[in-house]
Amino acid sequence: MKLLIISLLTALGFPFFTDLAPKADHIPARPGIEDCTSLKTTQIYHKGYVEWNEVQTLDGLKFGDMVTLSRRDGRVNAKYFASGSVSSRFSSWKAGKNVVAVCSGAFTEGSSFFQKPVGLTIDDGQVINRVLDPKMDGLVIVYATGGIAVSDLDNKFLVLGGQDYVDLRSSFKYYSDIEKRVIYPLSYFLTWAQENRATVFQTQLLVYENEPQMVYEKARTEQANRRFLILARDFTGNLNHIIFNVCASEYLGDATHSVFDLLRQKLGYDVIAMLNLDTGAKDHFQFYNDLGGKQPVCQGGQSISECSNLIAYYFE
Amino acid sequence: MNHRPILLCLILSLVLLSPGLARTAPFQLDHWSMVRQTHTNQEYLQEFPFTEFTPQYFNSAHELVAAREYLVQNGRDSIADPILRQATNVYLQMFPCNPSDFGSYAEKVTLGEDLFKICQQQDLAGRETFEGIADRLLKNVSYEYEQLLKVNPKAFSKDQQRELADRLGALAYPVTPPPPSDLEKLIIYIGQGQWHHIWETIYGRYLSDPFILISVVLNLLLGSWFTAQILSKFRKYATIQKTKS
Repeated sequence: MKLLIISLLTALGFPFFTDLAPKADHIPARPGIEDCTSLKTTQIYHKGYVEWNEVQTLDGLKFGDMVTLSRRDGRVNAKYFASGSVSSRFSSWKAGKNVVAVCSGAFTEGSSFFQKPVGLTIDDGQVINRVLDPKMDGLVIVYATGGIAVSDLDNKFLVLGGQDYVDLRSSFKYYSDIEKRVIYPLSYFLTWAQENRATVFQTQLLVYENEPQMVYEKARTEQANRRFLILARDFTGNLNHIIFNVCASEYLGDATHSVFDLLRQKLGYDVIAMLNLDTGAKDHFQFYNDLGGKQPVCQGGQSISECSNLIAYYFE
Repeated sequence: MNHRPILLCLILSLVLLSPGLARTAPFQLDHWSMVRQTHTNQEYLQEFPFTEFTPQYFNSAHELVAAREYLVQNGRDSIADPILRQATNVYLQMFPCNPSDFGSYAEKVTLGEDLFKICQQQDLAGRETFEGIADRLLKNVSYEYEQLLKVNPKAFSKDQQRELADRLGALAYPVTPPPPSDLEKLIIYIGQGQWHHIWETIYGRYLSDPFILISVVLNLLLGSWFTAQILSKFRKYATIQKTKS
């Protein structure tokens, strides 16, 4: 009865009762796969290597866009721009390329006048930020070949080319069986990245090897649009990179829950890693069709010139 | 009899012998090591006088390189790098960044810059050691400096702030500078011709609240009325002066 009166008064515009309305952390969690998401529309591009799906909630509202980029045959490749004037770098790079999608990548901090990449950042072998961010547990390596590898820094070890193990967060030296000498992890990794012209950035790792890396209910501080970069194998074992753009305003925990459940339970993907991309003040997303035309998908609020970093995919 | 030379000698000898004023001899790594030639590495490490070594050898990158070379060439190669790394921690404890002293930040950046330059000429182990020392120093400076700016955005002059930010950024330790003041922002936006943004900011901050809007309008009206009054007084004064002449 009391609740009914409060609801009535609140609805009638009694502002002093609004703080008695349910608080954000008391809102029940999203129910999950049963009534969250389903694929509504599917379109195939770039000879079947790229697929676009509009994802809806079961009550018919648009939940987001899912762009699946198949890595089979190495025809769809990734390129990351970590620093500098990324929009002009992107403009000159894309000439003659068949760009599939582009979006903002890792998080940055600072004012609109100065942006600093959060966490360890290396751009094409050039170290931009040497300082590891302890809050960002996902270390992403974008290879010059267009592939992406993700490591869980909380699991302590980063595998370099499947050969050696490096605990980047350790300041202690240890003996490397491969190198046959004592090494210092970060120094060793930086040298490797410079020699291999690797591009590296840090971000939040949401799911790793099919295991959520967060308690969904705890990640409910702020509702916003979300964007995830997912590395997943389909039922045939092919590796796919997926950009999942959540248009609905969601808590990070709920959006992660919904997207992971959709991929794992409904679509049968083996999720290697799911990463959180920046959708804050530098939010940009664009998807292109076969002819290079812009597709009407949920776009980030900012123009490409505002971005401090960019992740682009191209077809060749 | 002239007592002046005797008095002078007396004062001079007092000054030289005074324990408080006598200058201590600089720490010499080679002398200290010679005495402990028979020490095992563990004993050597345990007795190592970090507080004497650090002020002497952290003056420049060349001193550090010389110290490492001496240790490596004199049978202490397996503990040379641990000594230098431990000495870095001692150095940061003995000479922390002092918020009122720009030099305490700048000198560590200089040492970091020199170490990064010098490590390119070293063998792999030496390179990793000196990179490690530079990394420890510069991480400390960038962290301390960023914390200082959060508390006191006006710490150091604009030129000094820019210098530190540029030098740290060039070494891949970017520091987020304090956000510019409203006036600085206004100047930047005018320079960029972002009139729409300026209007939106002014509207959002000052004109969206009806009370503030009324206050601004009243102030503008009052201000223009006063200006008109003063101008008319001037005009009258000017015409009187004209008729007099």
